[in-house]
Amino acid sequence: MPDVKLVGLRKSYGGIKAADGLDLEVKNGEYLCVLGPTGAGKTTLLRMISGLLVPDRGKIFFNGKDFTRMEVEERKAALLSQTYALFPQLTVEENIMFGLDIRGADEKLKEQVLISMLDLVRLSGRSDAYPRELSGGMQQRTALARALASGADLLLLDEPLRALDARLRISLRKEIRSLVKTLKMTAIHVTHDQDEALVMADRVAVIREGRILQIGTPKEVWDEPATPFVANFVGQSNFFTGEVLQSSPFTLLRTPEGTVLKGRSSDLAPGTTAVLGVKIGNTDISKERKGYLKAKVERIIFEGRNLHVDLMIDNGQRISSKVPSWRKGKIAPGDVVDIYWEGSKGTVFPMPPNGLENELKVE
Amino acid sequence: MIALATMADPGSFATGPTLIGDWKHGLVDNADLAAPLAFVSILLILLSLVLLVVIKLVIMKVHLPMGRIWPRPEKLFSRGWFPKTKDGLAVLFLVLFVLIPSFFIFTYVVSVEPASFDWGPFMESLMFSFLVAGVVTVIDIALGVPLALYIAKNRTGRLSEVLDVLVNVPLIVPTAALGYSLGVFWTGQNIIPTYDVLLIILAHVAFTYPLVVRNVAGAVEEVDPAFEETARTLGAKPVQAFRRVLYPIIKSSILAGAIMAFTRSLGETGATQAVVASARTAPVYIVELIQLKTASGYYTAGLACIVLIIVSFVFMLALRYITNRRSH
Repeated sequence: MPDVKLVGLRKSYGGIKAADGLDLEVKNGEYLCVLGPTGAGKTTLLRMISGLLVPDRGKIFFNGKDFTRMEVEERKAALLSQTYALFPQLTVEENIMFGLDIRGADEKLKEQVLISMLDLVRLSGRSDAYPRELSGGMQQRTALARALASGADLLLLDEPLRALDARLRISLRKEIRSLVKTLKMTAIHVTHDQDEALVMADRVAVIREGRILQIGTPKEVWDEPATPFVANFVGQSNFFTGEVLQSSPFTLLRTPEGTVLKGRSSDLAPGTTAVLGVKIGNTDISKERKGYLKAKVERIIFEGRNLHVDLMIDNGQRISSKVPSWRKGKIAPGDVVDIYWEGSKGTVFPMPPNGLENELKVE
Repeated sequence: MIALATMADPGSFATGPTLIGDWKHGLVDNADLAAPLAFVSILLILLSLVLLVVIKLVIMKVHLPMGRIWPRPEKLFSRGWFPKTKDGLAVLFLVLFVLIPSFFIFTYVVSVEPASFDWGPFMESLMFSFLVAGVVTVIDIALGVPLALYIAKNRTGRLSEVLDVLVNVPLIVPTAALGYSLGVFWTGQNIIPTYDVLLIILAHVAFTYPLVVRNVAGAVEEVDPAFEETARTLGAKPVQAFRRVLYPIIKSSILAGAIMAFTRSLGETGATQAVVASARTAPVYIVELIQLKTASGYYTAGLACIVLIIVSFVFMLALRYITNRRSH
């Protein structure tokens, strides 16, 4: 059961920096999700940990030992790739036994492991099937069993649920996590799906442009985002810019129009320009209660459980709000509503050096 | 093969490769032929290289008007009489120009008065051919698979790109010219003893080796690198990952390449003669029989051809069987 530590990893392809000074610490037995948009360097990170890619600079430690240039097969870090890469000429059983087979494990151990693995991933009846005969979910579970049975301590998952349909994906989330926990493995799971990361992870690391922006429990990352990008990437936020009036016990921000907005305490000096981010799910709209701002409803999208409401404030800025579906019928496009949020739900950030728009861009 | 087909025609017509074959024979009594022989070989090699480069350039630079869409003719050609006629003509061509002439030898042998046939020399030459082809195939696999792996796995590298082009050269150059060049090269050095068998094997390896490389490199490129990578992370050493994961996937391609190399070696006339004029492989023997211009010679050649055709056919069936299994 290793703890994994990455120090200052750098890797670039031509001019593109896939890892730009990555620092990351994964605790023993932890389930860590690395969350980031496409092209953020997630797969590069995983390949460097697995040893399939050698970093240009920086070091990788497993249990405090330098593993930066250790051979792939010596690391005991099994990779579960997006495509599963089940060996087509081997049956489910032979696939699962691959890791033990090549180590020359004795028959008794192999049989024990096989039976418990088939049982764990509910494939006992299909052990003689070939991968092409299995459904997507079964293939996924076979690949998982193969990785778990290989004797690896560290499980590296590269978007393992990407190719599955939505319902299956949700049930496999729980399954994978509980298997990893049962076997007391350490897992690093890379994904671009924020729901997946929040549900599965002990801690979430948000990555962008080859750098870790924030690492914390799902709740911390959700409620106390470190940067406007994190606030927006993990659960979409509305942003307001203004001048800091005070920073404790609440931060007060005055917009160019003179409206005063409220957010959590911060360490910003009064007078500095700052950005206030509020999750759209925490942005409430009301016709009765007085709010910070007034806005006009532009359109309402029915999403099943929620309504997604697009609004325009007086200064022309567009914002959004998510409200429960039962309020459908009480609001209609064209209505003028009050915008309100709890002061503790707003997070104040210093103005990003290259502007808010660049900061929020997801490429 | 072209050389064989042309030489089998007892007329005086000569293509470049047959010329090399004939002159090489003459070289024994007339040493003056060495210079023109070399000249023809050089000419053939240069021409083929120029052709290779030109074709490469043409393919890269010239865009055939395939991008354009012609709604009316394309509609016309897709339905009705046109596809049927096309298929019919294609089959007719195969039967009329390829199959019937190839198998006509059977009727010839049956219809002609049987002459006394001495199986001895032919069987000897056939065994010799099989020996050469077998050894050549083993060498091809042993040397070709590693190169194919290198080319396929270093696609981004400049060196692999160059190798990929260079490996085609022996396929493009007429084998007779290649054979003569090889003969001159190997007899000119004093490190390795120059037994005839060895020379023939070396020559055959030169032009059959690319067949294995081509086949295997193509197959390896089709395989998702994730297979081997995943195997490595599961604890497999590189050799184990190849043997347990990649090899089973590309096995049929290696076999297909090997069979192509084998039959190619079995059928080669021009290069064999150009390397060692006195060589007695099966196809060379057949040509010699025809050059006797006697009835019994033709008859014996006919029987020998039947044996060769049957052997080649059996190999083709094997190839089909193996490549069909690929989809399983």
